[in-house]
Amino acid sequence: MQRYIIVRLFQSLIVLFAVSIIIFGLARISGDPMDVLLPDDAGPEEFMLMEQQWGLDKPLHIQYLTFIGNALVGDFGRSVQHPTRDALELVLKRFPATIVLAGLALLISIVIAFPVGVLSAVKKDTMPDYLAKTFALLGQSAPSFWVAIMLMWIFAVQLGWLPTSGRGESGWDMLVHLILPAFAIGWYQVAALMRLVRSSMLEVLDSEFIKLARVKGVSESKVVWKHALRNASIAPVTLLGLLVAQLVTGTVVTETVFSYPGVGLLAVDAIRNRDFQVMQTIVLVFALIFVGINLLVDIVYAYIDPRIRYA
Amino acid sequence: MDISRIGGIPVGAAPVGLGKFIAEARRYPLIPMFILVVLLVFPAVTAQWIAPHDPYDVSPRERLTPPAWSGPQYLNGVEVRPEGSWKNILGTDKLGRDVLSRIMHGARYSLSISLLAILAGGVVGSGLGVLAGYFGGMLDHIVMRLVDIFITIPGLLFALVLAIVLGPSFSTIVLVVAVILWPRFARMSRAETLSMRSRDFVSRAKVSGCSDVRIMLRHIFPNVVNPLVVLVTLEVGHVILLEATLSFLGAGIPRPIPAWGLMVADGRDLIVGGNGWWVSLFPGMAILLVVLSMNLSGDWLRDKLDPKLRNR
Repeated sequence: MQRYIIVRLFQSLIVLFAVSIIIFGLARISGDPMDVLLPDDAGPEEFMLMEQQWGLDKPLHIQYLTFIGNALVGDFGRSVQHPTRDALELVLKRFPATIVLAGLALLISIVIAFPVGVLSAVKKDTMPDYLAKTFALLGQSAPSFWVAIMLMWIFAVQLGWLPTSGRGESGWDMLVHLILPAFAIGWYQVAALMRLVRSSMLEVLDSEFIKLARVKGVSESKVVWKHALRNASIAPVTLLGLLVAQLVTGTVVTETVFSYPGVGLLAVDAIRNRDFQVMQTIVLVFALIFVGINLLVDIVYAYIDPRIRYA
Repeated sequence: MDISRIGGIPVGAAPVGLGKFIAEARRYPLIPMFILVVLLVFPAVTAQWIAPHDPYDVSPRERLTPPAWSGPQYLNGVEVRPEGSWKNILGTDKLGRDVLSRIMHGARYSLSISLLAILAGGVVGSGLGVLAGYFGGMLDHIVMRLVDIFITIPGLLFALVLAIVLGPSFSTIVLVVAVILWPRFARMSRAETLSMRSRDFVSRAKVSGCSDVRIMLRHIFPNVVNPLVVLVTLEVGHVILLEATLSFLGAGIPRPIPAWGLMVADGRDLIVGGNGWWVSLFPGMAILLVVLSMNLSGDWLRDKLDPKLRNR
């Protein structure tokens, strides 16, 4: 187990290293990195400062080490849009809002997807199953930004039940502002997760120990919800890494639709203003979290299912 | 005991209503393929002849005309929204451009970007995959590590950085989507190649003096191509969604080109202001229908070509 963890940790570090190389390289393949790193109306003293701070007059490998050194102490440069602010500071300030939104969306999708997936497997080829499958198919085919806009149109504009945009002041107000964006992200996740729960449940329900439990006279609900679901829950755990990747996409898109002041909205603003410093910070922070979660999932998975460790 | 259930599995339950329709549509992909042709391929090819208006034609006097079938809207006795007219069947956007014509022209961009990106990603990915699987060793190791890295990182993040560095344009978005796609092709073609490499016909080809290039092209690739075709059809839906999402975020092709994602984005502010729902609704429905029918056709093709994957 220890060896497995060390190997996986090492692989994660390689991924992070590759991401840093890609980010570093992208700023430089497009010609003069200053064109990307500085705003169009930058003065000569800003050029001087940038050149010194990032060692742009030195060879490439020294430049890369400077970049990594700066990144490790949390210095990602200054935002083009807000020149007085640190890029990292801007990103971290937006972070809690995004975490809350992503967490609620994940919760919603798990709470809906597991029962529906189980039900769909138990009642295979009946009306509930077809409804669930249709929903999954629609969920995976509909563009998430469009679903978000339509939800906003129906529930915020037409019915006026919920606010259209923003984050709210505090407490209850913030929760009310979260509902629509969280469902907009969750809807897409439910589709993917439900399909997996369903197919995994079908496989388990077909196995010998379930038949044995039935023969023993264990009640049907206990067979399904205890014996089968426990064994069927292992496979969806591996999907968690993929779900987090979808969450990243989901938050960027949904925050744009609902003008929800999180990291995703910051990223889209960064595109509009060609704010490379902020963008590279967001990507590196997201990559760090993402790789970390994947590592955690793999370790948990190896813990649950010992066969993985020796594969 | 309920006699209709044997071993917990219902017997003889027939699909009903909408469920039946979906089940039938899965079995015979005529309906989804028909939708695909009507909505995507036909407009994409013939947009400049069949579109009722020029998609770039701005007409301020007809701005925000609702779809043809909707009546005028009054607020305190004052007309705030005119009646729809058959001149602009799906209405006009805030610059008075015809929504239907823009959707038709948008199909052209959606289709060409997806095809080019899949072609680029597919050729590079399956090429590297076959090479890695055939030669093994160091090359295999490097390619597979690269695949792992690219699969681990959410593609959207790459896309956003590239959009900033290169600036949004047609070629940027093709490149971005290809970069996101190639690892999937590489992974699949490598796995298939590995299973072919140890087969008798390959070693016999080798003994009879075939060069490595010839073996890969004539003996291995034809056996790998079926799953790759299935992968392509299953990915087209993803790619169209991805392209639309990038356009929506402003990282795709720039305005005023009528990309579907951009049109939905333009309609967002109109919906918030209560000024017009049709600008967002229709392009979004076009995306939904095309991706849905693509996914159904893909499922069908997968069942045809690769029966072992059925019921996944």
